[in-house]
Amino acid sequence: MILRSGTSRLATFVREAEPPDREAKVAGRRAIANAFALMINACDHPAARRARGALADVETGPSGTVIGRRTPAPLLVAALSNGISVHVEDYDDTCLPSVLHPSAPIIPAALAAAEFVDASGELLLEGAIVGMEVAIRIADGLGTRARDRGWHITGLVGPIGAAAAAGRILGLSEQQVLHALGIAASQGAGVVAALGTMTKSLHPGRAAANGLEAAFLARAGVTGPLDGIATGIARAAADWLDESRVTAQLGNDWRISSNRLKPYACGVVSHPAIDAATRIRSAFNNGETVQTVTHVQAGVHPLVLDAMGIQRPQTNLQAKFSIYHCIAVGLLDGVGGPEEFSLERVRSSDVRRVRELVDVNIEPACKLDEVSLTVQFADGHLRNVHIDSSTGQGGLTDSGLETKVHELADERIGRERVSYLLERTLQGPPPSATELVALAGPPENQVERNGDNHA
Amino acid sequence: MSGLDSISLTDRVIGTYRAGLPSHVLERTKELILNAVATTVCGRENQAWRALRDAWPPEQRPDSSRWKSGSEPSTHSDPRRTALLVAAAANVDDFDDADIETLTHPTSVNLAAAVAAASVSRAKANDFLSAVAIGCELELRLARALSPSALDRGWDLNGVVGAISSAVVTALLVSPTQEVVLGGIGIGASSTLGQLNQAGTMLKPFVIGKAAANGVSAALLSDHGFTSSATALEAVRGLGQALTDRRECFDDAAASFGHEWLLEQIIVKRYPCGIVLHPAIDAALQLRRGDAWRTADSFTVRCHPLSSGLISRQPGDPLQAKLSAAYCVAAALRDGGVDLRHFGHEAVLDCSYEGRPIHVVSSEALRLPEVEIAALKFNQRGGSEALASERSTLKVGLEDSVMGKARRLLGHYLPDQVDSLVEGISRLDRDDDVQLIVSAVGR
Repeated sequence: MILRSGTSRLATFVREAEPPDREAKVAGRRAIANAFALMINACDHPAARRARGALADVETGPSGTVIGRRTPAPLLVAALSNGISVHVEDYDDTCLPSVLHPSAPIIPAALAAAEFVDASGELLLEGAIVGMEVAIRIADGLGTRARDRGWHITGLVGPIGAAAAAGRILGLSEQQVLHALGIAASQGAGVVAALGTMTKSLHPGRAAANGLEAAFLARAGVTGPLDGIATGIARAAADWLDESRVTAQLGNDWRISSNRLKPYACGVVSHPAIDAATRIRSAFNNGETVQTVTHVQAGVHPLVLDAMGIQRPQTNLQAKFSIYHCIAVGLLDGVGGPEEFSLERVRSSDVRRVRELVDVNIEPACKLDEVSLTVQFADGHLRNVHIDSSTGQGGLTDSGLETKVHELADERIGRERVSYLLERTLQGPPPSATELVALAGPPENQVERNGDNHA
Repeated sequence: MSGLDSISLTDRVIGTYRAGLPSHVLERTKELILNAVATTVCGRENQAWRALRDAWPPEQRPDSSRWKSGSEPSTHSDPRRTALLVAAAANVDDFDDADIETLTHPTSVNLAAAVAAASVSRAKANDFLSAVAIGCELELRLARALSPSALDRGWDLNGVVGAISSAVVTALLVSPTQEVVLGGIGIGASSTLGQLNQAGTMLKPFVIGKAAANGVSAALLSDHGFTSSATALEAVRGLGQALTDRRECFDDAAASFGHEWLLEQIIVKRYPCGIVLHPAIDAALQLRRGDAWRTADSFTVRCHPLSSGLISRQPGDPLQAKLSAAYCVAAALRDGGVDLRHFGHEAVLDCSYEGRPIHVVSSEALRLPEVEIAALKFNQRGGSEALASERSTLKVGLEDSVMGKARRLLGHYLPDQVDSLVEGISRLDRDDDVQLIVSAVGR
């Protein structure tokens, strides 16, 4: 009996996987709706603008669409810019326990490939789901060692998922998919030290572009090692790959169904703390207000301080990795959307005051989505909340997703179009790339900002 | 300086660049560039390179109105693609240069980045030369800091540090400020790639090319204000820690930067194959000078265990043959040398000498990169005895033959431009114009 490598089995899966089950399709559709709203919202974020400004005018190749803008860009730059936009607000999605953000590297790559071949909506959806499934499984197979060393899992694994998605949509042969996965695997990159800077969002953006490119290279006959994942990136970054976790029930058990869409625009390990803070806030009575809070104590999982330990954030991106800021806005505002992490909010005096009241201690027994939050008031009394699973445990509800998408996209393309976008992505025949691009594009009469095509 | 401080490293790099480099460093860099230009021109004939080139056909030209002020568009209007293809061509035949300690090919990546940067800015020749030198130096220092830990894990340091050094090269030529250079390092640290399992595949030259392309992108992003960590190399959960578990691994990388130059240790290759095989070829050629080996029944190639796994494979294609000790030794015994024709797509991949097998054996008694070849004869006791043996190690010092090698390669592919290219490279520290070189390698 010849044992096939994990990469080989994944290549077969990418090429031949039957249409995913209902739950996986629902998860895929929700991820697409969520991602498109994020792309529309952040298409002119400084990170996306500067990336296009640096690369769009000097890169060549076929054209693709930067969602939310009218001017076309080279296909790889479009995928990169869209990937940045999905992730830059840290409002996308997460799979635990790996903390992978699967949408940002994969949906832009799937979209670009689908645009290139004018793929049907079904194929676009299948490609996105297959790509995300591949990435999730490889992240599971790596365990926590790569992350503990300092690798950003989304950047490490994202290119492989993106190559899988693009390979499915471009119709690569199984052998071509095998090589595409190997070429993509060689390009896993991104360190955690980039958190709080624009480069963090470059990780999935670049992963989308690199995965797409890998698929095109394999399509043209470029070859790589036959087991590029286990003997390449997994061995180097994590010493080994648990292939059983990668391939178990492949095609039958769709792990994409456990992908959580984020309810808050910040690092996912802080979400339980925001849940706790908002719960305390909503229970204020008998004269309790944030203004009467004198101390806040949070007990958290060790990774939380590691990833979210910026005590005095100076920028909005830094605030997304500040557990102190997250708790502060949870108590003050009761929400954690992009506005709560704007530069204005970061610098506001009430937020700064509450941030300084927060102490965080590590509770080794705490799970990743668990927190104990205790608030002390001026008269000495305490209020405590213990969360053992965050709001995102089961993902946003349909109405929660709808609210989020409208909040993100209404201003740019109008409420009516957003409603139609939601309707098309979540129900009925899935829209093709052409339809999605048209639905998500700016209104005809809207002038491109700054009068500069890509700045 | 105790402990790496990326900001101080950046300041040293810029200070060295602005102050000018010692003449012996510039002369050595010219030799490395001459060699790399020759291997780039030659590498464009390689089928693997052509597959990379043709995989992504350009279909549109960019709007030239957004060039940096003071510059003008050149014929190479996609610097990322230029960098990728130039570096890949320079390396695809494995005939460029190498650092034996880190298995890196410094000039290919950094020359490619300089060519790409020169295509989008008005880089002067002396700046071009200095930037390549600094890029090679930085790549070596960072790679040696990561060696052997990162190598043992399976990382290809060409892609890992090449993305950073090429970002610095590009930044120096586009906008040599602390902000841009430091930003290029930070973004480059998140743009690494490449693992050793790609050796012997088309992915190897692609990774070197992509490292150069990523570095160019990193510098351009930084120049446009894209933010990154100022301590991406040395921070907790930074690149050093991710690669080796020791964030302090880069501590000595900047020591004496600009005063002591490692790039003078770069080896220009004499044979178009893995550098670890060069001693085996030399030993085979030494053996060939005698006669005792000619009746051998078989041959053994003994090398350090770290080499044997890399070079003991039976090649299935010419790229794999570049890492096959048996193939290269057979070719050396048979033909009296190893050159590009042994790795062409029509080469017959015979790993035996006239049907007599060649075995690769590891030996703890040998140090890296020593190799010993023995010609064996079966005896009546059922064993074998050595008829002859030769031991060799890596011979540094192709310098007197760099010109000969370069002229040979350039003469074959660009016969009308040999003299002007050789002259142009020799005058890089005196002339203003670098476009002749850019045009020759970047077209």
